[in-house]
Amino acid sequence: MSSISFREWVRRLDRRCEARLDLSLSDLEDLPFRDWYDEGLTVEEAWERVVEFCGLPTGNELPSLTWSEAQIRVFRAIVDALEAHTIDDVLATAWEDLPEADRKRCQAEVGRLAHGMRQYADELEDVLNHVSH
Amino acid sequence: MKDLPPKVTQQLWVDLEGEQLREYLRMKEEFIALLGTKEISAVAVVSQLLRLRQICVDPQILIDDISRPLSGCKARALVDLLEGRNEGKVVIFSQYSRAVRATSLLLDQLRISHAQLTGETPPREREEIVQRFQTQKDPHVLVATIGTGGLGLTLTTTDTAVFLDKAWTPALNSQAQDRLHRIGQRSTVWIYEILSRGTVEERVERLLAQKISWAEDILSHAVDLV
Repeated sequence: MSSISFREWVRRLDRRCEARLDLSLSDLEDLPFRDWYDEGLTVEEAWERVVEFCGLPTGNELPSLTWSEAQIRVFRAIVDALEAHTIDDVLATAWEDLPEADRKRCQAEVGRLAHGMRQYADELEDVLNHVSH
Repeated sequence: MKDLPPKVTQQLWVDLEGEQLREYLRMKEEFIALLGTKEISAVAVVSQLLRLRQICVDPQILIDDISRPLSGCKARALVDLLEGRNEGKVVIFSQYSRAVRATSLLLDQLRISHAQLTGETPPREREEIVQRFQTQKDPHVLVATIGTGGLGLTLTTTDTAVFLDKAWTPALNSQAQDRLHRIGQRSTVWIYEILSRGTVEERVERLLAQKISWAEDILSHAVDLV
């Protein structure tokens, strides 16, 4: 059991969510927070579970991360790959025609984001389809 | 499982109207503008997507202060369903704790006895609520989030579940349905899914159907192998 009250624990988790995602914890899908608190999870550990359960993109740098055109191209490649079921192949060639500097930057960022993006790609693909029709 | 009674899923498609539709279109326009910009943050995409989905349930759940009963096209469909079931108990699921709170206010207005289960409900209280729901006349309705009501509970005293929205992951929705459709259930289980036509929910539904179809393909091949 944590040394802080459940209310305070949730407040801290909520602050972390706002700082990382610019969203309140109650904006996201509801999860068994009380069980996690009773299990003795720290706020940091609980946050990791929120990211995992909600399939959110991972990485501390996320709030300030922006997508250049090249990055969007990589993201679209992930979506294409999911449709084709050959994600690794497409990822490997997604930035072939970009300048060297952009290519390296994309590779590094995709490495960090790939895990979260794979979980979220279905949803993002859906949104792109939705708004483009 | 062989001995379980059948499970019937019925999708109720509703149309956004009035303020709910205006809010959805406004958010969609905002989203299109966002996607058209050269620089777009992953967080912004996630956030906008979430808001589109929430508006489909009820625009008021975009904000934390839930002060009004659930309203809009899904609320109307839910009321119709509840009025058509005077006797039997019902479980209502949503992904969002705010939707649970708004639904609770709607049930207060309708004078329907109910209980809520969210991620903040302590385990002991959760057990007591489920025990009462299973064994006593009241509460008549249980309103739960998919993330908490879907896990480890037995709700076989009812044969009807209503989903105000659905998780993107088929397994989560199935787990919630299985709270009713499990050993101890004697009646056909009715699952009602209230979905908004022409919105992101319609797209999600196609994706879910595709995912389920893939899963069934894999399972059937596995059966062939053995």
